[in-house]
Amino acid sequence: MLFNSFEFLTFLLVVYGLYRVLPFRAQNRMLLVAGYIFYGWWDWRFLALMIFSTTVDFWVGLLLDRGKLTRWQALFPATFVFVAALLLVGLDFSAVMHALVGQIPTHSVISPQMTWILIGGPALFLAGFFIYKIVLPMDERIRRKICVLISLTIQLGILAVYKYFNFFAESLVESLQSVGINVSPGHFNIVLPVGISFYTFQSLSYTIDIYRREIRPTDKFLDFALFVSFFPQLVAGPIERARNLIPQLSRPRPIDFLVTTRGLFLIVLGLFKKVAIADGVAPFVDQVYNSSGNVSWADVVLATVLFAVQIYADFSGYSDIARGTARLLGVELMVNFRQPYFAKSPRDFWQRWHISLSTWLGDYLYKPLGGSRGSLAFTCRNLMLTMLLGGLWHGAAWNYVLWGFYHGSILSIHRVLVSVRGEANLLQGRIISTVKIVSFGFVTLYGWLLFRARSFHQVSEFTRIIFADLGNFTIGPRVPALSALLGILLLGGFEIAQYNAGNGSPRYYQRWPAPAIGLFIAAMMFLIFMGMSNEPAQFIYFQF
Amino acid sequence: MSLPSSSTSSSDLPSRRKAWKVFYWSLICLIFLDVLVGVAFPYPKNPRELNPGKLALFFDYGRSMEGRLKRATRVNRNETAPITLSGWYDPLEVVERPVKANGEVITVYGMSHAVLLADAVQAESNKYSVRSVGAPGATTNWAYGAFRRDVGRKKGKAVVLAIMSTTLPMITTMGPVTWNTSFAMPYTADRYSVGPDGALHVTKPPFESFEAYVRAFSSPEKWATVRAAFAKNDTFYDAFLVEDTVLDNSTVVRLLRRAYAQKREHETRKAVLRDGRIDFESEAIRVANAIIRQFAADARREGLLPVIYVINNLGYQDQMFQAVSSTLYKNRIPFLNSAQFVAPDNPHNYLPDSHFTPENDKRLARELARIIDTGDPAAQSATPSN
Repeated sequence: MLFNSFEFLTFLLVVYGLYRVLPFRAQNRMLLVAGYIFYGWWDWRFLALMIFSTTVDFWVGLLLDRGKLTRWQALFPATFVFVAALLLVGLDFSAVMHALVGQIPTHSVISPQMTWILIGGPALFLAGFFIYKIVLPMDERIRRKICVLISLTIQLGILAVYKYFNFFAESLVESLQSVGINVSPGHFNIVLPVGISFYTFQSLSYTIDIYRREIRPTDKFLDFALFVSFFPQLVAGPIERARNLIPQLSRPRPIDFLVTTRGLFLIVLGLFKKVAIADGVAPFVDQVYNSSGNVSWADVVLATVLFAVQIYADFSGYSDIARGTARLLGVELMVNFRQPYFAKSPRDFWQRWHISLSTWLGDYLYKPLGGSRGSLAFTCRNLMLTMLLGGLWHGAAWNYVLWGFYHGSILSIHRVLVSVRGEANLLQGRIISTVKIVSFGFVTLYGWLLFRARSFHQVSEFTRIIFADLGNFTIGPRVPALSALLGILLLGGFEIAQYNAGNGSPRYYQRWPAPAIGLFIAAMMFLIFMGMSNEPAQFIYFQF
Repeated sequence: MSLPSSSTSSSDLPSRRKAWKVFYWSLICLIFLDVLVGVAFPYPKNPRELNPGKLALFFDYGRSMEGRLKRATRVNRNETAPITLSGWYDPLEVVERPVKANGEVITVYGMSHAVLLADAVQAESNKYSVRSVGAPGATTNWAYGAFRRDVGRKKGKAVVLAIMSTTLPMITTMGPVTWNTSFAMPYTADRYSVGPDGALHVTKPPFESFEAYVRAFSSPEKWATVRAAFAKNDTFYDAFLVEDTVLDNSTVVRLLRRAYAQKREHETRKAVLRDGRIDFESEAIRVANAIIRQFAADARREGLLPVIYVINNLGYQDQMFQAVSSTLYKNRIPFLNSAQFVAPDNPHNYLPDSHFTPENDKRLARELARIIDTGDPAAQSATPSN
């Protein structure tokens, strides 16, 4: 379900209406069902996978902390995931309606996977029970290590199979073929479940934090399931931490009028970014990057600049809507973007762009690797590894790895410069700051070219065009929509004013007089109405 | 149960008051913008004024079809908007180009792409003289209806029928008045449907000439009958888009109506041809194949060579061709598939108004002449221009 669709508007109105009339516990149950409907709208079958992933980490969390499960804590999630698998995977929903009206025999609604579920489900539960019995008497330190390893193996294993198997298999086959070894390519015909990278990382942070004794696990399976499937941020973040979200979900949440209005403002801002700007520039960007023919210097440069606008407006717009929607439900999600195109250095950029992922990678990958505690070379190695994996997180393709390598490199170069001169001794001042922002902007833009390119060949071709084809100013027939051009001006002005306000606070606009805020909101809404004619595109980060 | 305002302390009251003020100011500003845009970019009242400006056009796109037709239509042909005079079956507007010495005549039926191809063949070939019968944005059902009504077709050697990706789903309409939200045009088209036996059935439109349209449009009773006919036969008919209301005066309502129309168009196109799949069971594709079959049979019966001009628009790959290819091959109908010569994923092959560049039209024209010369059922393999 897309945030910028009428389906979501209807869904949100129903959820909000129910939320306002239900008592606290029932609110949580309703939000859990809402999260599953929201996710299942895309594909019901993968809900079972998410529930399985939820169950594993719920059990691991309790075993890490208390070392045991109550009968209820063991049986309820097991039954839940088994029933979910039976209903969501074992039945062919597309055939159910036909069977109900008698068009096909009733047994046709049973999918071929039903047998596997009936056999595999109890087998898996028995295997889990034996593992439980084995780890139960173990020394706490070993038990905790085994438990966290189980969580890591299962969660990353799911990610590896669904997201990376075909990529690595095909890459291996190509490598072997390039040295003359012919092997038949193995290929799973699998669909990438939407948002799998987001909820897997979110769930993993829970078990790792418990392992590090930074948080205590929740006893309530349904609260944990809601943490994993909280719909506003389920499929494209922000990747929330258990220590922030679970406490909010585990206690009553008063609905505050002002918080609600701020939530509505964020929703309007997010829709404005997505509908008026991102969807308005997408056709131009696509015509250049999806083209198989010759493109000009102006095409490549303009498309890359507009892609930078598109991906920011698209992803930060999603985050704004997610945060705004959560606020309507009394939940505060973390800020995911802080004006990233005002970054003056690579480090600054990653403190402003997709903050929930960069802090996740920092906390769970960079720091465990050693962070900046060792030599300069050691730090650079850690930066590079983190960014390579961060690039790969975005998608199973080599251009994402290249993008990660690119950012790893510029982070390392920056680190070396800082170590030589010291952060404070690098050039300062207002004009210098502007020069830094502009020059780092070019660096970021080239990174987006690597990110958006469809192949290495396109990377090299577009790089050649940028440097060798200067002066070719013809552009393709599709131009950005009017809503996007006006929207970029409005958003640019808003962000510059926010940046100049000093602290870059996301709520700085609240200091404006009411007519000014009213005019800003009205202008955004007017541009949303204009942008609604643009062809709606899926959020870019859904594919990750 | 959560209480909405219980947590608001007395110190929050100024902020709460401000929030309401912001709400009212937002509404006032939105109304102001609505009126301001309407005043700043008015659409000219004179139907003969053809260049109202891009912004005036943009903000007017969402006006109801009846609202736009009301503004464009006058009883007198010299006073009405030129676009209201285009595309009528009665009389059929045929463009005859100069006849070449010892040359032969071919006739092309379709939309502006087809007419541009006709111009290019006329310029490129020293053998063929080209007649064209076209209407702005014409769908293939209109083109086939035009072919059937064209009494001059028989004097030629070949007849060419155009079919295009973007307007394929509109093959089940009775005219652009229900679907072309960019330009309000009152001309009508035959509505074809495929019977269970695969035969093509035709439903005639409620009027076929400008004069009949004006008579119907100026009489509420007659127009109600016309609406009913469209509602019954035209798969794109939607009262929200067609019927004139007082809300036409609001820019915001027009933008919303335009968005609704665009969304419907995107979804319909996607359902038939996009997203890596073709819905062969859709009515649009079944009708398209039936029309092509019938057109070829009709032409052959009269000793004419039938050729299908398949136009693949930018961003569509060659799905349009795939949708009709089995009919073309099975019935050995010669075709000119644009995707074989003009890559549909290269934006530089197209002009900003979505037509092919003149160079590509010339290339296609030469190929069409070759197909007619040889009577090849299928075009030779070619490399698309990049």
